[in-house]
Amino acid sequence: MDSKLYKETFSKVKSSYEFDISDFEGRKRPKVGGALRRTAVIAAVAALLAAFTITASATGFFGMRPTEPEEADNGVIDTIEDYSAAPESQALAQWLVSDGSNASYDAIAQRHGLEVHEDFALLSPTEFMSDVGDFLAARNSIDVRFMHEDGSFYVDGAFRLDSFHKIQYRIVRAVRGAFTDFLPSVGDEKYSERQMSVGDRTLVLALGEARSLIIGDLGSSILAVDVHGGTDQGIEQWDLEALAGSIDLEVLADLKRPELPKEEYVDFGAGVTILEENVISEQSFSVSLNGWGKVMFISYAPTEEFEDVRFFISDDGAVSDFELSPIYTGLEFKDVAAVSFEDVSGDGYADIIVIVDYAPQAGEPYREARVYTARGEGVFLIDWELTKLVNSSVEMSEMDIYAIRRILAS
Amino acid sequence: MERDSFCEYAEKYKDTIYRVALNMSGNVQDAEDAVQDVLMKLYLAERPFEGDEHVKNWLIRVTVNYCKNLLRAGSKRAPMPPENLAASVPFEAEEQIALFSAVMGLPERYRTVLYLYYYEDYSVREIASILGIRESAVTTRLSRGRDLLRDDLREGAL
Repeated sequence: MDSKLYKETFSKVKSSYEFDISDFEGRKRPKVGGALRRTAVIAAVAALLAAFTITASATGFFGMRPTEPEEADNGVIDTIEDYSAAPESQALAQWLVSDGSNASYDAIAQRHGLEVHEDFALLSPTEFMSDVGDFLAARNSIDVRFMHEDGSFYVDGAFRLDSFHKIQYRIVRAVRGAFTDFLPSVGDEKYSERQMSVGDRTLVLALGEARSLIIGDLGSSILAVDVHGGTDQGIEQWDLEALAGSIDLEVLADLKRPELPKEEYVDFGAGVTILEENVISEQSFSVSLNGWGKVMFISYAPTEEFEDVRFFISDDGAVSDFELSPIYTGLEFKDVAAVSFEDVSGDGYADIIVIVDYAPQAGEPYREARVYTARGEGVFLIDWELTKLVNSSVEMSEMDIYAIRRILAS
Repeated sequence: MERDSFCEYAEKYKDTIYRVALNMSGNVQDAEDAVQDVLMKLYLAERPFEGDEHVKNWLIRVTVNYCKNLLRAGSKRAPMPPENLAASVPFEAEEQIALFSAVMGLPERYRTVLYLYYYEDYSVREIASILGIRESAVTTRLSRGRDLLRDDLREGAL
C-alpha cells in the first residue's frame, strides 16, 4: 500500500459544510438533521421534558420524565406509567437526550444504580433457541437476534395476523438492574391502555396511532414489545392480545444467563462451519455481487429440528463472511424453490430474492418469498416492506420469480 | 464546550468527521449529516478534554457510533457508486481517482480500518478500541483490504 498516495488522495476529501457558529448557538439540536430516527426520538423526548406532567389515565397521554434516581420505582410494572417510572426507563430517557458519549452512558447507568453490559453477540437461530428456548408460537418469524451476557436480548420479527397481514415488532427482554439501551421508549404517542392476565402475570397492552407497546413484568426482567404500528395501520386491541398470547412468558421469565459464543466479532453472524451435505447445491451459486466481486452464494438446509434455512455469502472459499438476516418461521423447512439476484430497489446494487417452501399448512402448500436489499457494501438486510408486498400480492400457488418481478415492477 | 475552543475544533476536525463517515456510510449526504450532528454533540459536550488528540479521538469514536446507529436504525441511505463519490472530490491526478474509487469500492469493514490506519495513523490496538472489535479482526481486515485493493488496482478494474 502506498501510504503517501493514500494520504494525498484522502486529504482531498472534505466536507462541503461551511462552519457557522450560529448553527449551534442557542440550539438544542442540529439545524438540519439527517433522516436519523434517533434524532426524531430525541426531539420528542426533549419536547416532553420542556413542559411535562404525568397523568395516569386509561386513555391518557404517557411520556417519560427523567427523575432523580431516588424517585425511580423498582416496583411491579402493571401500567405504562409504572414502566416509565422504572429505573431502566428513566436511564433510557436520560440517555436519549445525552451527548451519546461512553462517559455519559456510564454516568447515567451509575446514577440509576444499573449495571453496564459487558458483552454482546449476534446469534444464529440455533444459538438463540438453545439459549432462550422456544418462546414464540408458530405465527411468529424472527430476524435479528442480539443478546447481552446477562440474557437481555432483542429480536426483530413479525407476527402473522392472517394470510395477508403481519405486525412487525421488536421483542425486548431486559434484565432488571442493567442499563439496556434498546428498551423501547414510551415516547409521545397517545395510548389506550388495557391489561391482560396471562396466568399469574399481567401484561399491559398500549395501543397507539402509529405505534403500540406490550409491557410485562417478569420479575427479574422486563418484557417490552415495540410494535411498529397502531390504529393508523388498522391494528386493534385484540391483535395485540393475539401477539401477546403467542409469547411464552414463563420461558422468558426462567431464562438463565447464557454463554455467549466466544468467537471473533463479525458483523452479521458468520464464522460458522457448514456441513457439505446440508448445502442445497441446486440453489448455491458463484455470482458477482456488489462490493465482493465473485462470491459463492450458499443455500444451507437446517441441520437440526426447529432450525430454518440459512443463506451465506462466502468470498474466499471459507464460509466466514456474511449471512443474510436469518428468519425463524417455526415451520418445517422443505426446500428453496428459487434464488434471484437483481436490483429491486433501483440503487444500482444487486438485491436478493429467495422463495422458500415449507411443510403444508392446513393441507395447503406453504411458500414464502423474502426480499433482501443491499444496504451497503457487504450488507444485505431483509426488506420487510417489499417482502410483505410480495407475499400479500402473489398467491402461493403462483409464486415464482416472474410473478415477484411483476409485482415489484408495478 | 467553551465557544472559542468549539469553533477551533469544529474547523479543525469537520473534515475528519466527514472522511470517517464517508468511509462508513459510502454516501455523501449521510457523511454531511454526520458532520453537523457530531459537531452538535461536541458543542453540547460538558466533559473536559485533555487536548487536541483527545478531542479528535472522541470525535472519531462518536462518528463511528453515529454511523453504526444509522445502520441499526435503518436510516442509512444507499451507498453511492464509487465513480459518483469520486466525482464529488476535486482530485488532481488520475492515480488519486483510481485509488479513491478502488477504496470506496471495498466493503465498509475494510475501508474504515484502512482509513484509520493509513490516514489517521492509529495503531491496531487503537483501531480495535475505536471500532469495538478485536485486534485480530483489525489485522485481518487490514490484510484483506490491502489484498483486495492490490487486485483492483492491478486489474485496473476501476
